[in-house]
Parts: sequence; C-alpha cells; structure tokens
Amino acid sequence: MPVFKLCLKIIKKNLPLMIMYMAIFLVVSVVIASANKQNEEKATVFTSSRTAMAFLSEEDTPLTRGLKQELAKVAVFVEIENSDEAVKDALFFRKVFYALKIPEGFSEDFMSGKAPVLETIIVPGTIPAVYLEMAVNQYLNTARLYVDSLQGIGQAEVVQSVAKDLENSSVVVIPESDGLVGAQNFSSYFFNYLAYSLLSVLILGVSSIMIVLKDKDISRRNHASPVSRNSMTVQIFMAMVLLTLGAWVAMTGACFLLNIKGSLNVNFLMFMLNSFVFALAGTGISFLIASVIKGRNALSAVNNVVTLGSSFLGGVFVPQQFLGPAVLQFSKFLPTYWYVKANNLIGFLTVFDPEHTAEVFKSMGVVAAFGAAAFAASLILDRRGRLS
Amino acid sequence: MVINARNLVKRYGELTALDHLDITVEEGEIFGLLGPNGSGKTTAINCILSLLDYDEGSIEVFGRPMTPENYEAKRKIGIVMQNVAVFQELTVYENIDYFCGLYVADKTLRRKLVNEAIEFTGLEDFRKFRPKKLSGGLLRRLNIACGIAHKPQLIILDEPTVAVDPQSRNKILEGIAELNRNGATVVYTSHYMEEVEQLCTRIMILDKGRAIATGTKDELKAMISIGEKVIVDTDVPDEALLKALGGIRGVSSVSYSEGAVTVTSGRGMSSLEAVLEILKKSGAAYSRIRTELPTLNDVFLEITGKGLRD
Repeated sequence: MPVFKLCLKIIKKNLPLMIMYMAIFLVVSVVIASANKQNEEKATVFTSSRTAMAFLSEEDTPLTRGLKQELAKVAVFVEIENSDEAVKDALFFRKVFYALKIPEGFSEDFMSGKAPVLETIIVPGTIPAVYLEMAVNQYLNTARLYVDSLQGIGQAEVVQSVAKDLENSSVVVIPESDGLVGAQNFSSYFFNYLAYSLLSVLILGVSSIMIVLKDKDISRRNHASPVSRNSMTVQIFMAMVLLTLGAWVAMTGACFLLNIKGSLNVNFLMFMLNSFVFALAGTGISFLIASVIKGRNALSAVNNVVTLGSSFLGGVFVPQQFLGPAVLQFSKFLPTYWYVKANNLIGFLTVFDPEHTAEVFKSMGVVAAFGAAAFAASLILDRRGRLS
Repeated sequence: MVINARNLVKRYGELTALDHLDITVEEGEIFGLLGPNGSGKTTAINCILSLLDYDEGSIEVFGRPMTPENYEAKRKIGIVMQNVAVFQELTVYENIDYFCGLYVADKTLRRKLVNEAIEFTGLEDFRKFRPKKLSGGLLRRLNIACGIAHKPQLIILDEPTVAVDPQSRNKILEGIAELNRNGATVVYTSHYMEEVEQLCTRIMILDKGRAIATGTKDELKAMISIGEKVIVDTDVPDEALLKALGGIRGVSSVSYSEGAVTVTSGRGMSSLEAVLEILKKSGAAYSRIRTELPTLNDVFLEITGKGLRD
C-alpha cells in the first residue's frame, strides 16, 4: 500500500505542528475548563439563607404576631426606627432589603373582610425582596381564605390554621447534585474547546496530504501507474481515518486522564460519541477545504478562518446563550453549532431514554450530515477537476 | 509493435491539439517526438498513457487497447514527466521507493531495484537528501530514477532535459541510450533538435498537432531540397562577392547575417571547393570557414516555413 504509507509519511512530517496544536489546546482547555468548573460549582450548590428585613408594625395582634412568626423562617428582623428617613437609610446601606409597615387597625380591617393596605419598601431589583414579598402574600392570601370561608373565625384560629397549612412543603430532589455536576462541566467545557483544536489538526493533516497528492504532475504520475484510482482513494481514505482516529483518541484520552472521576459515566460516553461524529465530519470538511485551496500558503489562513470563525460563531468560545439571535440563526449553518449544542445538552442529561436523548442525537445527525455533504462536495469537485 | 496510435484527434474547444495523428513505435527503438512548444507532444503522450481522453482514433500499447484500466500495459511503462514530479517530504531514496512501489510490491526486489536506479542515475551520495537540497540537474536525474526504477519495457520521457545544464544533459542522454541498449523501448519528446538527432533512431516532427515528417534522421534530411552549407565568417561582403558565390553550380542560396556568409547547396551537392576558389580570387578577408550538413531544423524550416524555436 504505497499511497497509504506515503500519506503516513506526510502526516509524520507535519506531526510536530499537529502536536503543538494539541498541546496548546490541552493547556488552554484545562485552564479554562478548571476555572469554569469552580465557578459552576459555586453557582450550583444550594444553601438556604435568610434575608434582612424590617418588620414595622403599629399594632400587636395575633395576626401580626403570626405573620412575623412565619416570616421569621425566611427573614432576619433588623430593628430600625419606624420613620421614612430611617427605612430609606437602612435600605440604601443594605441593612435591610425589605421593610414592611403594618398600620394600626390592619388586623381588624382584615378580619372584617376589608382589604387594608400594607406598605412595603424594597431595594429595587433584588431577588430576596421578591421572595419576602411572596412570603407575605402567601401568608395573607391563605389567611384570607379562612376569613372568607368561616364566618366569625377569630384571629388566633386563623393564625393557627395558616401556620399548619404553611408547614406543608414539597421535597425537591435535584438529581444533578450527586457530585458529578462539576466533573461533567469539566468534560463539557473540554469537549466544547475540542471543536477548535480537533478541526485545526484535521484540516492541517488532511490538507497537507491532499495538497501533495493534488499536485498536477504528481497526480498524473500516480495515475499513469498500475494502481487504480479506487485503490488510491481507499488508501488515502484509510490514512485519513487513521489520522482522525489518532487525533480523536489523543484528545479525548487526555480529557479522560485529566478527569477520571467525571469520565466514568454515560455522559462521558455521549461526549465521546458526539466528538467522534464531529471528528468524522471534520475530516469531510478538511477534504472539502483541501479540494478548494491551491497551496500551502493558503492553508494556514483558511485553517484559521474556518476553525476560529466557526468556533466563535458556534459557541465554543462564547456560550451560545450569549450569542444574538441573528448570529445563532447563521450559526445553524455551521456543524460546530450543533456539536456544541449537543455537548451542552449532554452536560445536563441525567436520564438517557429516547425522550431525553432525542435532541442530542438529532444534533449529532446534523453534524454527520454536514460531514457527508462536505465529503460529497469534495468528491464532485475532484471529479470536475479531473474531467477538466 | 509497442505503440500503435491511429488517427488521433484531440480538441480543446476550438483548438485542435492533435490532428489525425498516427504514431507507431517498434520494440527496441528510440522514437523521438520533435516539435516546438505547443505542437502536441505532451498531449500525444498523455493520450497514449490514457491520462487524457481523445475525441477520435485508437491507441494500442503492447498489442492491447490502451485504457485507464489497462494495468497490465501500465505496469510495463515508465514515465518521466516534463516537470519534476517528486515529493518534497521524502528523501531521494524514499521518492524512488514510492514510485517503484506503485509497480513492484515485493520489498526485497524493490530495494534492489531502487539501489540500481540510484546507481544508474549517479545519486549514491544523495540518498538521504530531500529534493529541495538538490540542484536542477540532480532533480532531473531523480525524476528519471523514479520513472525507470521498476525496469519498464517502455520508457516515455517528456522533455526530460528542460532547464538542465549541458553536463547533466549529456549524462541524461547517455543514460537513456544505455537503457535502450539494455532492452527498453524509448519514446523521447523534445524541442531540442540536437538531442533528438543524437539520440533517436526514428523521429516524428510535429507541428500544430500534425505529423509533418517521420523517419530516421537521414530519411528526414533526404526529404528536403538543400544539402551542405558552407559558412564563412567575414566582414560585410561586397555585392560582387555574393553574386560570384551565388553563381557556383548547384548553390541554391547565399545569405549574410551576423558576420557570416552562408552558401547553401542543393541536395547532394557540395560547394566548398568553389567557395574557397572565389574567396582566394577576390582577396576577401575571412577568419574561419566551416561546413554543415542539413539539420532537423532545416527540415522543419523547409516544411513549415519557420524554425523549430520560432
């Protein structure tokens, strides 16, 4: 298999540059993925906290006491003077995020079916204040149900009933919180960055081979020999597959070794499958690029434009959720977009039934279709070039 | 018959590159395709090798129709392209080994053949050199080594001496003659008439895709009306001298250019003695007198009305 061996020798000649690409990729992706992993861990670990608030009541009734008792579960009461100036100062300096003023006669009006007004002052745009607002509303709305439904019910009974009702709570289980979230995020980031370096290495390797073999005189010389075109194509294809496998194994293997704990799960297998599909598509794209470019000088420029361009637009360097709708619309014409989309979905997968994985496999299918189309286009270009 | 191409026509749009061309090459000969650039030499070679489709005609190589799938014939052919077709990524040895490997699968035999080709082309000291480190002449030799390493029965050399210094050119021509002596049939294309004249046993002169003459060099020269030329290096001669030279029996033309008077005789005639007599009588000063037999350029000139290198 002289052509196959020739391809391997050409790859070997370009190996230092490919290794450099991979080494830079590994260093950069490990640094960035590790940094993102730490941030993600901070962001996803849940701890309950209570919000500072001012409870300024001008009356002391069972109802106001009951409300305060309920709010104590989610708030820390800060004693401040009951004046507008003092409340504004406390909010401005973030001593409190929420101030609730209960006017005198509130309880009586409430129990008689009226709709007395509570004055609340909050720090605008703060989530804790919104939660406290919700807690107050929940308490009073529940109390209103009892007052409206049971004629003659007393404040103490209302408070007791509401307290009992609000004791009921739903247990929320977050399956991701089994300790793998951070590890999966490392893989997710790593495999996203892999789109850039894997494509770079493949374009470099495949184009290097094709530029040499496409040379008019070399091509004529080869086709004057008794080796058939089909045999040559098969030998070249085998070399490309070997290059693709080598690059893919090296990069995914590095991810596995750097993150063994996070790699022993189905998500990692899905990441690998997705990256393998992308690698094959990358080979097709590299074929197409090699069919179009005229020489080595153009190779470097085209390589940078294609890999960096598709990485930026596809969401490798900038998360897809931060990209504008117009950019995302355009990105859908890039395989990198679908590869990253599948990666992002895989990162959050906890159930691997067809319903949950359908979207992932659809994205993989789109990537594979891109690769097949690129491969077919390069064959058509090759045939046209041969006939002309 | 090694090559039998009949009535070949190849058109590129409006341009007819090969115009009803017949080529026959017998076993053991060195067949020369001579013609100016663009005359159709390389097109003819490409058609013979099935690298190019043609519009009309037929080609047989080693007695069988030549098609891209005629691997049996291809296995017996060695091709040396006009441009050096080697891999910059490989060493001299690896390049020859690769091209030899397209024909010979056996590793041991191939090693022997590659070493013989290296020795034959005098590249022993450059085995591990990459092509970019080689001079133009050495590159041409490498190109030839790649084409002949598998010991083909038919060697096609498409202008193998373009842009080569005279010393390397002589070595290449000697090598080709040796290959022929060893039993290979050679097809040699060139626009250098001296090379073709020196090397080839039979010559076809091509112009605008047509064969305008075919035969041995003597047969070709016998086709034209001129014979020996007497060339006298002298200052600008007077009209009377030119008139006297033109009056010699059998002289077909007398001309003066670039400090030399050329007296051309008709076919089979010689005028040297008469020219010397006239020069002596006229007392004209001259520095050198030499004679030349008709060349292939004269053949081309007489048939087409233009020089080979016009």
